Amino acid sequence: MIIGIVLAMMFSSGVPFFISCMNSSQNEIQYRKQGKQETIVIDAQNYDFDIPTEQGAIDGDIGFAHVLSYVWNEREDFSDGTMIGWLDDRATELYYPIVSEGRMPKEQNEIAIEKSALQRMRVDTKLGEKITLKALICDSDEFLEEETDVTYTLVGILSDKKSNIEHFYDEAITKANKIPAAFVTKDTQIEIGGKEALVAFFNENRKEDGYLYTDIPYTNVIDTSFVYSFSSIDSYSAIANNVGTVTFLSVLLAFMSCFGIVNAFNSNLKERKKQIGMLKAVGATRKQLITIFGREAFIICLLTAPLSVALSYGAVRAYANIMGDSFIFEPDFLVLIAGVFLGIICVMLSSLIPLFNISRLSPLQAIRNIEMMRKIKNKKIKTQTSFSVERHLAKRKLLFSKGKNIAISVIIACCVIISCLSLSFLNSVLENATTYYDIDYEINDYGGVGSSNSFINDLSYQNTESPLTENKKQEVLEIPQVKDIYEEKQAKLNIVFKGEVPEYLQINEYASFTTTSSRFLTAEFSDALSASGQGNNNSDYSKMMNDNLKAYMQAAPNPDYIHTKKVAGFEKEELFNVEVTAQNPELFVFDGITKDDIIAGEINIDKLNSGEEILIYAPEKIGFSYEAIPGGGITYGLYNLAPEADVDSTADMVLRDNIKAEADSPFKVGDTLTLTLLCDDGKGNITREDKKVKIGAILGKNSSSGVFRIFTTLEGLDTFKTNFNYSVFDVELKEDCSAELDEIMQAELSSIFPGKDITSVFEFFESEKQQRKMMIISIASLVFVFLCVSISLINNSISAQIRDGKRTLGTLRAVGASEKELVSSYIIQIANIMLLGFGAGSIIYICSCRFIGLIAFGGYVPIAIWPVLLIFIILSTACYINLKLKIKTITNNSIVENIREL
Amino acid sequence: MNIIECKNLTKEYLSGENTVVALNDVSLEFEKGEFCAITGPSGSGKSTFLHCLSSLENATSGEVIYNNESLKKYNDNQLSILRRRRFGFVFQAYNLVEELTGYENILLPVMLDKKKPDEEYLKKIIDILGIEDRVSHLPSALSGGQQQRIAIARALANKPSILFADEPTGNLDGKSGREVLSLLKYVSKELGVTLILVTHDLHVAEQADRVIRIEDGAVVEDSKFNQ
Repeated sequence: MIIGIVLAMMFSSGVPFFISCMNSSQNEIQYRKQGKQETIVIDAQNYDFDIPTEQGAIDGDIGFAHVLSYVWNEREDFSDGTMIGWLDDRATELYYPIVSEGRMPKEQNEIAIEKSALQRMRVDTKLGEKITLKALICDSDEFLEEETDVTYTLVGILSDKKSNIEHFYDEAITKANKIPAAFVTKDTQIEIGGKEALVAFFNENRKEDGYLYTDIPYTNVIDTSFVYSFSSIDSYSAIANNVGTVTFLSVLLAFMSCFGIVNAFNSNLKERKKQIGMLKAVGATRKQLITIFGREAFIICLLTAPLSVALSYGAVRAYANIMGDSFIFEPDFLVLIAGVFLGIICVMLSSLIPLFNISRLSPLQAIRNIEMMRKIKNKKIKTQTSFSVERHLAKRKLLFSKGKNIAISVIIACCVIISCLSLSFLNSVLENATTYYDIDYEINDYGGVGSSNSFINDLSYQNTESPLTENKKQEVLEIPQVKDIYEEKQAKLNIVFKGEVPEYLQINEYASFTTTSSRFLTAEFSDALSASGQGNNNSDYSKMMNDNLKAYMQAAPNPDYIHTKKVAGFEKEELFNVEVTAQNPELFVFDGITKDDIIAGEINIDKLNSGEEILIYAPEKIGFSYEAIPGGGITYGLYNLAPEADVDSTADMVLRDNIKAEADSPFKVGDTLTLTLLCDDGKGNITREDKKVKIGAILGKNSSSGVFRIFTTLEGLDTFKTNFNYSVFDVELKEDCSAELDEIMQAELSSIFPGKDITSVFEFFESEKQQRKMMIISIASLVFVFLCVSISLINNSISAQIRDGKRTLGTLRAVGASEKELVSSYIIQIANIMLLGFGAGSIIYICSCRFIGLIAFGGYVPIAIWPVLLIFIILSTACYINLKLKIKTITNNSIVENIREL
Repeated sequence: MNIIECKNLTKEYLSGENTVVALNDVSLEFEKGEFCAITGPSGSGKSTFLHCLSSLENATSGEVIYNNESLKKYNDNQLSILRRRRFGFVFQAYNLVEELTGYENILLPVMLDKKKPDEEYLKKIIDILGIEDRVSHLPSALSGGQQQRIAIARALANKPSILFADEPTGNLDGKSGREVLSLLKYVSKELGVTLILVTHDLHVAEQADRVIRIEDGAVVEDSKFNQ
């Protein structure tokens, strides 16, 4: 019982520790990224803070950064510099500089600089070395005109603050980056002739409802464009993203601990049933019994509290260590006390349940096992004239303790279901985790494809300005860390058909009606979709779908389509608008254009470059499917129906079962297609450029999608006269990306492509890694807790059965049963109970993977056998060891001790 | 001819810091087919002697010799086999396995030995003990006397050489006790089994061929009678 109570107290006292860890870590992550201040005011020397202070808008003192100069690397761009300054005590407390290497400056001419500032300036000075920079000395909110050289000894590298990184690229040398990212010793005097600029750091007082003052008095005296507010929690915080997980684990811990305590006490009190019966027989009242055993529980709690709390503390500390530097677990005294109290309260409250139950028993019930005798009497038993003692006895024991055993089987089944589902989910997450990408950064601009300005009626193309130019490409290639850059262009071309568009491509039109469908019913579909999205049970859309979609579409051709066709001179032909992706051939593999995915033909780069051939993505059989979402809306998709096709997700699986229209591919390698590019000058004039190309290879053997597309090389696309813009730049680095390198690259790329989103594969991997880590820990904790509780419950039950059957064991030993036979008998019993639990659990698990998975995870959870085996091995081993030990304890005693009446 | 003997048998228990000597250097020999009653006051060590002699409990020192072979060198498994094949036990509290019927309880030593039951022999014992119509019941459905008869049948099921009985009539009323005793005596004579019986009832002891009186863990009297 002591072990049970220690574990239960450990779990329950772990709740405040866990919450404390999460809370301090969340704050720490925020403080490390943006400091403890809520507000930063630039050029604070221009403002009088007395008024807002007097009016109570400012919480505590204001800290000031004394900004001395702006410095930059002479060899690099002037704008890639940073401010130098020093922080007073309050500002140091609020700005919260974190030294990642070295130390803060202590002597004159020593300097510590934030990492990103060093990277921006491209300074490769090591700690302890001199650094010479160009400087402009501050003159209040301006600078002195004369440039000077300043030399410092670099003594520390600081972690970046969001305030510096985020606002740096807004405008160089403006208010934004007047926040210093380089720090010298306190009280350093500004050069003669200069005048310090000040940056104020402070927190704001909150109203009673917790919100900040919206009419903060200082806004009347300070130009608010000089104010930066940091009151919200950083959305990138891993913890903020996992609040649900944290809450779930805390509640689970508390629940499991209470469950464990009830079980431990139940088991202990059953063992002492006779003692309780005796006390009742000699006149002890229920209240007295509860007091006696409650006091005992309290004393055990107090005695075990130090160990339990220490274990709990250790577990949470280990968790924080695993999660990394930002996870802080430094509980104050109150949290420790809360842990102890919660542990004791959980134990005392949970122990009341078994105490109340046992105190209700009559003395006779408690002294004699009447319940068991009644059960046995009521059973009709057929005498066996020949039997294996182990098996026969196990069978009878199972028969007489069916209720108890079913409870254990249910526990095992629950353990199997929850553990296996969690592990399978984790398995699928890990299996699907992206582990390798050829590229490191992607900058894209699809403005030429999606916007209506660029594609008139989806048939004609209008070239627009793109930031992804040849010059920009060269700038990226000049970054020393960049190995290569791979480009991609996207264009919309039209395939010309003399007669009707093949059924195969019509099905493509069904599936693209919401975005680029050109020929039919655009407005009607759009209206219907909009209506269905508003929750009218999709009646319009469903009606269209069910009442022969093709007929609906063909009944109402799109007037814009007819007009464009007419202007371009295609009155008799039909045009099928198709997306063309043109890539650097090095990117083909990255985009899945591999030999494995070829249905027919071969990829001949030369022929693609010359414009003689194209590649088409056209699976042999495709199908269109849609399904109404209860409550409004639809999901739909166009799928590759070939047997080799990968099925990406559960949603796909559901839709694949619900195919409304399907067709076989009419395309063959060597077929000639007439492509036409319609260019719109924006004034209604359309020029036309036709080209005949052969199908070099057909792709789409394994891919899930059924959407028809054309691929070629950049050179191939450029055989059209129109100069298409780049839509994607994929950047590959010379070396594997690291956190430091990523910061440099993001800064570099942001300066080349201001305002564009830079997709960092490293950042994506890191965030995925962090999420996976969190998930692994959460699921491992969940499975661990469940296994602990299950093992504890099963073992308690086995122990109780062995204790109850001690006399029987003694009798069997007296008539010649060996230890092996005794163990065998129990193993058969446990095996039966476990098999029942495992069988039921496994069946429910498999069903859950298919059905409940849909609700819980929004998709099927792939069935994995290894979690079932793993849980089986762990539970069986734990139970076998416990059984062996218990029987050994019994057989270590003499037979007389076994059979002696208690 | 001695079937079992003990030499310098001593059994000590620890009771707190004190050592209690339950058996003090007891040496005895028992002949084949003998009916021996061991008597003495409560706490004299007679049950302890029977337990040590029958290998239900290990003696602190001394040895037990069965068929001229010391049981000291027997391991647990060998002792288990000896008990199921050669010894039979009857306890004061019957000690039947609650989950098994009377007949299944009787079969226990035979089944543990993985032998085919000698049904004729078993029927004979059951007839002698008069429990033909009770053997299909679970022990909880039987009276004390009936349970003790089942226990005797179980003790005899494997045709043991020695039957150890520890106060077999202690939990029974006078009439049942007498019946059980005469059955024990009759069966052991009939089957040629050595019967070593512990009792504090002098009327029971009077029926034995030999009476050994133990006091304070030592044999104080060993009388043989020719009946």
